[in-house]
Amino acid sequence: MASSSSNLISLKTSDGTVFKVERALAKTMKTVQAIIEEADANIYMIPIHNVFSHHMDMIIDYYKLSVAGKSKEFSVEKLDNDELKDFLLAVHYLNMEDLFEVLTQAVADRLEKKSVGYVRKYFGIENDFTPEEYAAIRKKNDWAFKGDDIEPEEDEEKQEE
Amino acid sequence: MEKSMGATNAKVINHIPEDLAFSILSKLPLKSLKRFGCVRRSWALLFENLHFLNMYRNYFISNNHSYYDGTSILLNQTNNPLHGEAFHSTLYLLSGERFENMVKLDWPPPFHEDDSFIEILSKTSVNGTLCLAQKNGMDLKCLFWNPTTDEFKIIPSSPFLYQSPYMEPTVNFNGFGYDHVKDDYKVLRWLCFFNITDVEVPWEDYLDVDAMWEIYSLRSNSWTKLDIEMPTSASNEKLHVDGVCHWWSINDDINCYDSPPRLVSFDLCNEVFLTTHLSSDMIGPLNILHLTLLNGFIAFIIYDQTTTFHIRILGELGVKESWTKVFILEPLPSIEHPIGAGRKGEIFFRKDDDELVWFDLSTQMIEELGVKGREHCCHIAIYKDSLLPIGGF
Repeated sequence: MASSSSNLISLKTSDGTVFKVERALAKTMKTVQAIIEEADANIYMIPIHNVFSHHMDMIIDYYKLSVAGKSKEFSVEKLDNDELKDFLLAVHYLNMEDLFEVLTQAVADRLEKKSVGYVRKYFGIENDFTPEEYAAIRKKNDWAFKGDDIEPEEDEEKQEE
Repeated sequence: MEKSMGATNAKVINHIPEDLAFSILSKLPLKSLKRFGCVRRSWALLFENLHFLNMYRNYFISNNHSYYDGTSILLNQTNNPLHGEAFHSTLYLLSGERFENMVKLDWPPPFHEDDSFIEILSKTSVNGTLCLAQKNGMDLKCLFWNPTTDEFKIIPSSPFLYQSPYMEPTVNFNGFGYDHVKDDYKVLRWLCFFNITDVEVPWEDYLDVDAMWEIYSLRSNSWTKLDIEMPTSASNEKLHVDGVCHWWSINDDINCYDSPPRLVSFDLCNEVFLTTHLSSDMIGPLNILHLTLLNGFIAFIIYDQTTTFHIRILGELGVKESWTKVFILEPLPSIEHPIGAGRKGEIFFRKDDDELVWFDLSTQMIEELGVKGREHCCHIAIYKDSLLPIGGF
């Protein structure tokens, strides 16, 4: 099967897999596009750091669906929260606008009812409040912690009624 | 041979950069945002961070809330072109990206003789049906109307209106909406009674009629008294979202005394209500408060021609602290007061020369609609057409 190489770009993922993708798909990756444009000669293979082959599989799935006008059918349901985060970081690195919006929305939906503790771990953030500051802001926004569907804070005991 | 990249399965990055964090946070509901303000110091000040605010506002405006799917905008304009003469309400259907298409719609026959001060109750439609209400002196008209099919149904008079021949009712329509549990259309209103002056009431006929609430059900085609003490609406701004009717009031529960302003939310399904007070910094002597639905969320536009133009979005019903100041804008000179909001961050206003205009929240541009309106009765409604018969059953 002959392929006109000028229409395909080779991308090498972090785990060493080479993907030959259409130029149009590569164009949706602003990071890759910038590398192509800056290269003096025709670039042979572009390494994409922090992007694994399973990420590329999903990126290609999304691309195929959006070309067919079916981008709404793309789902990340099967990914757990951490896998989703990794995927988002990969797409963020590649600077892919549409898929980025889809994934940030997906992450927001997953985090909506989570606890403060969970969110800190998820984002890799340290608590930089003093105990007094935390107590004050916690109290001020107490209403935002209430609700049957909100994940309780790990370090807060459930009050006896 | 090329050097391999060295496959690694370990998670190299755990920390999410702040820019990326903001992209995620900007898509969260207000309640989550306020809770996550406790994650770290910089997140406690999210709404003071211009970079974040811009992202949040852009997402807020551009996000297509399902409430608006397939909807158009109705403008109900009130004017008395010959000053001193009668007022007329005129209905327009607005369409086009910049409302360049304005089609005048005729009111249904019961309003052909008198088209003054017609209200589109709760600024909403249920399965393509609007509820129109008119109070003109002693006359009271209330009907359901489907502008697409021209079908209308007059709502019968309430048996509670004339309980005593010596007392005159004053009626305040508070809401129209849909009870999804009973698959029923309902209209909610408040009555209070005054002695007819100059009439001597015989002692034996003296009947003190208390103010009361009543609710009309289309299924039973009748009015029922509601045993509830609830503040009635103080303005024309009434909304209906997901089976709940919202209005705001400055009366107390028995509607006698002035109280701090609050949002009243009445659930049409279980017929109970909830109040949400406004935070004290929302109220000022010069402020105009305008309750509206902004891109699907309950909001107050706080407006004063010279100094203030804020929009506060409600984070959670019943929670006074959750009115979040999302938009802070420059006041618009010669613009007098808001008359409603559209589907994607358009806010409609009346100018002091009576011209009706719309303001685009994303571009901050103002455009005239080409019609004038008097008084505070002009309003906007969100309409979703349907060919279903009224009630659908």
